[in-house]
Amino acid sequence: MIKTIHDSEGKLSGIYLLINGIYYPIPFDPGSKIISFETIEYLPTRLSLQSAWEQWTADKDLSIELADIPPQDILHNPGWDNLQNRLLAGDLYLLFSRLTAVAMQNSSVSTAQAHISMAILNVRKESALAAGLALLFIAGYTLTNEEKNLWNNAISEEGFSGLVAIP
Amino acid sequence: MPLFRRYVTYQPQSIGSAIIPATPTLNQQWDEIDDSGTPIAQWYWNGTIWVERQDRILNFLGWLDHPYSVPKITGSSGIWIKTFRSNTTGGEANSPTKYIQYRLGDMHSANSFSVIVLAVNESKTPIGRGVYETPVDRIYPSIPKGLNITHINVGGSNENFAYAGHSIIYRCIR
Repeated sequence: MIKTIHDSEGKLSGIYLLINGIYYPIPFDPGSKIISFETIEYLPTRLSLQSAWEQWTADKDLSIELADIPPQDILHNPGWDNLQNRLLAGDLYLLFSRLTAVAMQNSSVSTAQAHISMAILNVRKESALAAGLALLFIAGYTLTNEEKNLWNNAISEEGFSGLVAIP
Repeated sequence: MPLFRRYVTYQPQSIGSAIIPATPTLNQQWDEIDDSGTPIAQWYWNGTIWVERQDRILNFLGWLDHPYSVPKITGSSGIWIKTFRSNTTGGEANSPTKYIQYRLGDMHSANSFSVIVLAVNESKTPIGRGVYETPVDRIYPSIPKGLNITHINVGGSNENFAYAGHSIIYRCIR
């Protein structure tokens, strides 16, 4: 059995092979897509990994097993529920409450906040959330560095793309 | 009635050597020494790599999202992370839908945007200390420099994540 790791563009970036209950990394170069066991200097380790790999690949189609995947397959399901929870009752609550307080005084910020809320609660599309954030900046609302860090960490942890990051 | 005991005949056959054995056999033990004969490390051959004979523990603080590197011993190149363990306080209303998710991550670049999640412990016990352990079983040929713990509140748990503690159980390899 293997585990594969893909980067944010969907390109295969790592291969782990299961041997006796432990996952070992296979020496794979993501750039050239070449597996070269020669990079393992110690011969007994090299031979063991290579023979386990050959055994595993014997009846497999590597073009399928080691295929890249489309980026949307990775990002198709970011944690919208988690993001909502964090805003309403988690570590992002401070950010949300300050935004709400300002929105009550300022109609442009209020419009932006409505777009952001709809994007998170109903629409659940990154493009909609990005548009809401853009409105927020147009309205002149600025986030503190701490708020930016909180937000950017949260969206990265929940599997969102850079589209909804705050620069 | 006669009492029979069966002994597994076991001869450790440990090699004492400063250089890495060229043709190890399964479960072969190697006592690594330096040039003056002082013992450095104790290994065994698991069929693919040399593994340290005892577990090590690295503790993480619950309230920091900062990267940790993993202490290794002389001669080792990497580690085998066996398990990820979390000890939590629980929240009064924790349940299968309301809990804190603690993640062991590998923050392999300078910023926290690319974190590979290695294992997850979910604190779902309503109250009182809970111990959660998840297998990782992954070999790192070189030392990971950015292991970290992050947490996510799912469903609005009132558990205090700052009172949780986490550790990994690992062994050095070469």
